Amino acid sequence: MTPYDVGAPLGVILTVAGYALAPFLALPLAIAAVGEPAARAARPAIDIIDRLSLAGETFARGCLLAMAFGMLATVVLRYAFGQSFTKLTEGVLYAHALGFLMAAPAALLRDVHVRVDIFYGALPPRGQSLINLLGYTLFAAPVLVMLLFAAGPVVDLAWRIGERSAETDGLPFVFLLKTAISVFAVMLLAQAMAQASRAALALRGLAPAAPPAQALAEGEGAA
Amino acid sequence: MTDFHGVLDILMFAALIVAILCGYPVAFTLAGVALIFAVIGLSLGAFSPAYLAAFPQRIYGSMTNATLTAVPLFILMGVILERSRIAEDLLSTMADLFGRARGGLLYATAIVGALLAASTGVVGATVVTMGLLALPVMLRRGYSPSLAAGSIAAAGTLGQIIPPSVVLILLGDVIGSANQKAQLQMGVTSPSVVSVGDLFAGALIPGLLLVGLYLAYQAVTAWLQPTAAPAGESGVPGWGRVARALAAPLILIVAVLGSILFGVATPTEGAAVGAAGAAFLAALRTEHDAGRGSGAPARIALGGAGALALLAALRVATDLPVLFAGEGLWALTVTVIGAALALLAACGLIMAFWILARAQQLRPALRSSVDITAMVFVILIGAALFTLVFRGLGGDEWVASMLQSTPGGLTGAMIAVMLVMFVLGFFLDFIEICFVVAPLVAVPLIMMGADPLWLGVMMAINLQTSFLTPPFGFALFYLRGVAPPQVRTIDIYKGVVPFIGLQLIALLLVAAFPALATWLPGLLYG
Repeated sequence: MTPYDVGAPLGVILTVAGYALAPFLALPLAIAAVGEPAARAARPAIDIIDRLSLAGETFARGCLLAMAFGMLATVVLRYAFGQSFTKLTEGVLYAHALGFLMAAPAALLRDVHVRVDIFYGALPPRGQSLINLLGYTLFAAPVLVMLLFAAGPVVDLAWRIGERSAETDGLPFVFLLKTAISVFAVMLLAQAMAQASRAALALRGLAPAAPPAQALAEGEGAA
Repeated sequence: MTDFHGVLDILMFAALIVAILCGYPVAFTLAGVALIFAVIGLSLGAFSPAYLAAFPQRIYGSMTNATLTAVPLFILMGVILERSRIAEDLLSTMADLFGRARGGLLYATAIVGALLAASTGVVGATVVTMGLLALPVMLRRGYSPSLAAGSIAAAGTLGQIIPPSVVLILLGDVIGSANQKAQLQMGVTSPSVVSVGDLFAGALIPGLLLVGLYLAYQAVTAWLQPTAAPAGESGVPGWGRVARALAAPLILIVAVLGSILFGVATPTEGAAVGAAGAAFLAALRTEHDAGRGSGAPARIALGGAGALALLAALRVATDLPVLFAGEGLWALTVTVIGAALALLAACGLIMAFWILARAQQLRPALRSSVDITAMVFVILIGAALFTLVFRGLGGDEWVASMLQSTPGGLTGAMIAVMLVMFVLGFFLDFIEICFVVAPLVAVPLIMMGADPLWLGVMMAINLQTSFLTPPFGFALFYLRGVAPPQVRTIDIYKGVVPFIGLQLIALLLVAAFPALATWLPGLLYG
């Protein structure tokens, strides 16, 4: 049995699910347009997305720790004992890649991503909400949807050939690593949608979604 | 088809500047503007969709770029070090050491900034620490607020020019691949390679030069305006205290920077050693502060750190890798000792992380590190789409032809590029400039004859300056966040102006004497 035997039907299911969930992308605009009826659908969705992003970050923290230990082990093995293991080297690389991809949505949730706030910082809250809503509609959503469509064939091919490391003694999971690009696009898209919905709620003066408790309680130390 | 070249790409850049100023996260703005112009280009037949199809492969490229794995490790090292309070000890000791001299606290900030810069590579922590600790003391002693604030902001940015530094890693990656492309286009048969390690070595002397310039300026100011930086009274620290405060940063500098510069470790490996070292120091400090300095966990962590150092010493003293593969009693003995030390080190490191976790420090440190890392890499991804589309619209040819037609050849083109980067530094931060501007201009500049290493160091000094230029300089941001209210924002802005001038002097010096950047790498790596 090849990975593609599992991957092909899984891909079909996920594609159908993706199209079924696609209307949610219009939620921020719907809130801005019709207000409370759309907001009632948005609040639980935002809550679920927040939890998902925070889970992604927990995973990323583990990746970073694994990466630090893995890299130190690589150093000691190579420098002191003259040994090197391609699997270990590639494992560190995987942890690195998965780490920053899975941490990105939570960073968006906590608003860590760099903004040029010369004007933004001086805007009243309503102006900031408007920027966030427009930014999602014009920039974030189209880009991530495009990435999802562009990544589709790449991921499909990787599963089809069960793509593995170019090194003979490397890890055979390149197809899974490439799949992480699509997962990243979906998670970031969802969180961008959630943030834009928050902005739309604020713009309409509606009750906000429940704050992400974990993020608020522990986010103090974040940059 | 080509009618739109030179129009759409320029419009795209202009639109980017306007859009970025609106304040939506930069990463999405970069990619979003690119996508909009890609669609316009597609509908006009001036753009091939193949460029968009290449986007996922670009992302995969940055996921598997081994050079960039140093970034999260250095960030982790910096974040953990921030919690180890090494900076606090260093600062208070240096303040006591120099405090009796006129302008003494200014020298203390410059020296502490340089020492921390050589141990780690992040700006925020240094500025915040000095802003919290040194600034109030300076104000109490009657230092001019703008002079004090400027000195602290400038000293903090040294972290980006003195290796190891995140700026140099990102720039080294960009310059390295630009150099490859330029040589390929020129048909060089035996291409030379520029690595992050080269750039580290190249930036060391210019970084120290900057420290010298800062100190000279501070000394002259203190001499000309005694009231701006009066002498104070302070206890004379004993040599023991000075040695203790210096020990931790010096150990890290030797272990991390030393091993990278002497070619023993790659920057990524050095970063891993540095992160481990920072964890040991922070854990020991935590236990010491909690009054458990001689408890079992602290001893195990200390033993682990010692074992790691002994293992390095054993490797220097014997040919361990050969003995490991060899036979005989001597080989077996050394191997067993080496393996035991490695095991001890592993136990000690796990204990150090456990101590940090118990003190509720590990999770925030990891969280802060993954946040900053994600922020950097998402901008990298956004910038990748931007440069892809910009290329697809023929923008790179436009940039190259612009640079080649600049009067004055390479000198003129360099002046133009440096000027553009300097001006962009007022609005953007170094990551965007590094990922968007640097790749576009580096290839033509190298083809026009610029030494890639020298080019990299020039760009690094320029990017470091962007931390200081108001209104969007990171160092100013961090300082504003912690400065007492009697220091007005305008004081901070006024205070950094002379230091921006010093940055430009350093830039001119490196431009006039490229050996400042190229001599040390040549000496170390031939």
